[in-house]
Parts: sequence; C-alpha cells; structure tokens
Amino acid sequence: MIEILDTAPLSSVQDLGRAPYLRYGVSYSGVMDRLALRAGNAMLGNAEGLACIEIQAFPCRIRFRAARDFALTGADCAATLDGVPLPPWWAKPAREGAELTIGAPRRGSRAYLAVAGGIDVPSVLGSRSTQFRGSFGGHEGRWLKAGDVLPVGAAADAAVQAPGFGAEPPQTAFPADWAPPDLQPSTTAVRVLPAGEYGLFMEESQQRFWDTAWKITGQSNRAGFRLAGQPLEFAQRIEMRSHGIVPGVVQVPPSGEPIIQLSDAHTAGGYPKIGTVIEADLWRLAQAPLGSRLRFIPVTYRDALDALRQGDAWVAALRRLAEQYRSLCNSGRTP
Amino acid sequence: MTAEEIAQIATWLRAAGLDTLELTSPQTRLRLKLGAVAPVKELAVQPAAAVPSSLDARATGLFLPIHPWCETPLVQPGQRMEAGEVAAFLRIGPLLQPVTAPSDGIVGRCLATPGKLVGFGTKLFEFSPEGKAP
Repeated sequence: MIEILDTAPLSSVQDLGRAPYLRYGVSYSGVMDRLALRAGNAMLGNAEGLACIEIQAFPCRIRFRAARDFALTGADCAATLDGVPLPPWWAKPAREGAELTIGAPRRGSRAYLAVAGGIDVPSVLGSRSTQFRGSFGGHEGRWLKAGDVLPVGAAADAAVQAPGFGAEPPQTAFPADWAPPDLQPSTTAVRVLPAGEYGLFMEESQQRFWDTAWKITGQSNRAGFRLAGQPLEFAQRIEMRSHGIVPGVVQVPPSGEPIIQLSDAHTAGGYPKIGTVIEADLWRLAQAPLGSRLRFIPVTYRDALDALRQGDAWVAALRRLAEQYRSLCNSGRTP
Repeated sequence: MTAEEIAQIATWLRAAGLDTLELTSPQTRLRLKLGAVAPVKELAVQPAAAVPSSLDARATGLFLPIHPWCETPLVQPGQRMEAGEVAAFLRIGPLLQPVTAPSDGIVGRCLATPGKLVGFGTKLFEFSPEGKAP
C-alpha cells in the first residue's frame, strides 16, 4: 500500500481511460500523457494499462507502506527517494517506509508514479481512472488528498534492483524535428490534422491557425486547454448539432479562440472543429505548461499513423530491454 | 557466466547490429560469433583480480556521462562515490542502464567519449577504490 502524505487536490488515480464507453456518453478520463504511463508500466513489467498516480501540482509526498518497485516518468521533477535525488524517467525499488518527494518540474508539467502491480483501486466500467464528472472510478471518484492510502496489485516477475534504471525521455527520443526552425522558446509544437469544419474558416484564419503561436491560458486543465490569440474568423455563420468528439479535437467557439478538448472533455460538442492534435502528440500537450505557447504543424493522416506506430515500437523496445535488464540483475551478477 | 547471460549478450549483439564479440575477464573468456561456429581455445584460469581500477561498461551502448535532461555530468573527477552510486548511463535503445561504482572510492578522469558507442569492457572512468592512492 502507498500513502499520500501531502498533495494539492490535483493528483488522481488514472489509467488508459474508458474509450469503449465514449459512445455511451462516458468521458474518456485516463492519463493526459499516455506515453509516460505506458513507459512506466513497461519499465516495471506491468501490463500496459495498469493504473498510476497522475501528479499535476507540486510538491507531492508519498510513503511506501511496504517495499515496492516504482517508476517515475513524465515531467522532469526534482524528485528524491529518502532524500536521495532520482534521475528523470527512473525505475527503482523503494524500501518499506520509504518517502518519495516529487518537486516542482524543471520541464514538463505532469508526473506519473507507476508502481509494480499497479494502483489496485476497483475497476469501474473497465477502467481504474478517476471520472470527475460522475465522481466514480479512481480512489473514491475524487482527487487524492493527504492521508489517502491506496492498495497496490500483485507485482509480476523480476524485481528492479538498486540503483534502478532509466528510460530516455521522449522529448529527446522524439525531438520535434518536423517543427519550423523559427520556433520560439517556451513553445511546444504539435502535429494537427485539419478537421471537419476547417474549410469553413476564412483563408486568412486558416493560415494564421498554422502560422502563429497560441498561448495556453490559465483556464486550462484535464478537460481542455483554452488558447489565447487573435480570434479566428468563420467565412460564414454556422450552427451545428452536438456531435461526438475525442481528446485532441481543436474546437473554435464563437469567440474565435481555440479550445483543445482533452482527457476529461465532454463526449460531444457543437462547436466547429478546425483540427485535431494527433494522438501521438497528446503527450506533448500534457507536458506543455500553462502560460506557454503551442504551434500547430499540419500533418498527413499517413504521417500521423506512422508517429503512433513509432511510439508503440518505442514502448515495446523499452519493455523488452527493461525485462532483459531486470532479469540480468536478478541473475545475481552485477551488470 | 551462465548460459542465460550469454544468450542475453547475443540478443544485445544482434540488436546492436554487430556479429562478433570477444570478452575476457579474470574468470571468463567468451567469444560470440552470430550465425557461425567459432573455434574455442582452452584458456588457463587466472587468479581473480582485486576491485578494478576503472569503471567499465557492462554492456554495449551509448556512453552518457550527462543525463539527456541535465547540463552537468553526474560525477566530477576527484569526487568520492559510494558503492552502487551512479556515475553515468549507457543508452541501449530507449533504456538508460546505470554505470555504478563497484565499491566506495574516488572517481578520476573520464576515459571514453560522451555520446559514443562503447562495448562491453570499455574503460569509462578512472576509479580508485577507497583506501588506495589515486
């Protein structure tokens, strides 16, 4: 079991979400940065979809009530285990009573704590993710708070041996080499497919959507990012019926400033969609801090699928190499 | 060295796109050649060495004395290290494998080129086990 010693009410239990229930009007939920969760689970030998703790406010302090392997991925936090600094994207064993402190990120904005065996809260509608609108799933359907004690599942095969091992952060494994060279500092580039109503915008607005940096405002959270910039204009007024939307959809409300729908978004909406951030780049959004800027880079459907496969192959390679390394360490020889 | 470990090394060798590997330690001599039968010569067993005077690569990978997200190396020449402490990383695909101090001691000069591929046994740092003069 692990105990939350201290956290702001922005940490929650999440897994890969409830995609199959989207069509029944149940929000996706799940981690904002799927690559970070999948990598953490791969490093520990967990099944890919086991639940973790998503941490969005810092510092966060956690105590391991029993010895347990863990992996901390996502943002580059100044984390320590019993006072010993932990490299970013690192898996390590924690002894009984060990205290993990996750400090403010130096880069990125969300940290993911995966534990061997996963956070074993009850599965509701096929997922352990916290669903805030319906107040179910996760730990009592709510944000975590100090004093919460979370059960962990049975750990699989070979344990992690001290001092542990790491993964190359995806920011360096997948540099945005498709982004324009004139990208300003504190700007995250994400690839976007034009969506259904793209053609209904003024040509000048279409161009500006790609050419300018959009600021992520303070009214942004797990449900969506509200962006600020010169409003986009429609060629004609349009009224639409509500229709299904998925995480990554970029809507443009009448104000003209885009909204990106994310993990906790409603399952349907009626605003026109100018584009969709590709699934392979949602982790980049998840790690873009409030107040920073986004640049949208047009991409083809084929390239979007390639990017998704690249991520899958990376996670699979990490899982294979981590498994080999853990078993080598457990064979009694110092690697 | 167990058969399982040799199989492991063969897997890494294939993953790294290499086909031959020779490895000599005080206890072991290993010659791997993928896809062929390599001639084996008897080797006289040598007495086990003391704690080595260098930190060596224990795998084939890219030598990273600095974490991809950091500006400064993990250790500086002359720094005291405790047994098991991490001095650098070897990047093998997406995996960062730690290079650790085998005992308490003082780490010396870096002997390998950062960012370059190093093989099993490559000397990475000078290392003086505790109690010995550097």
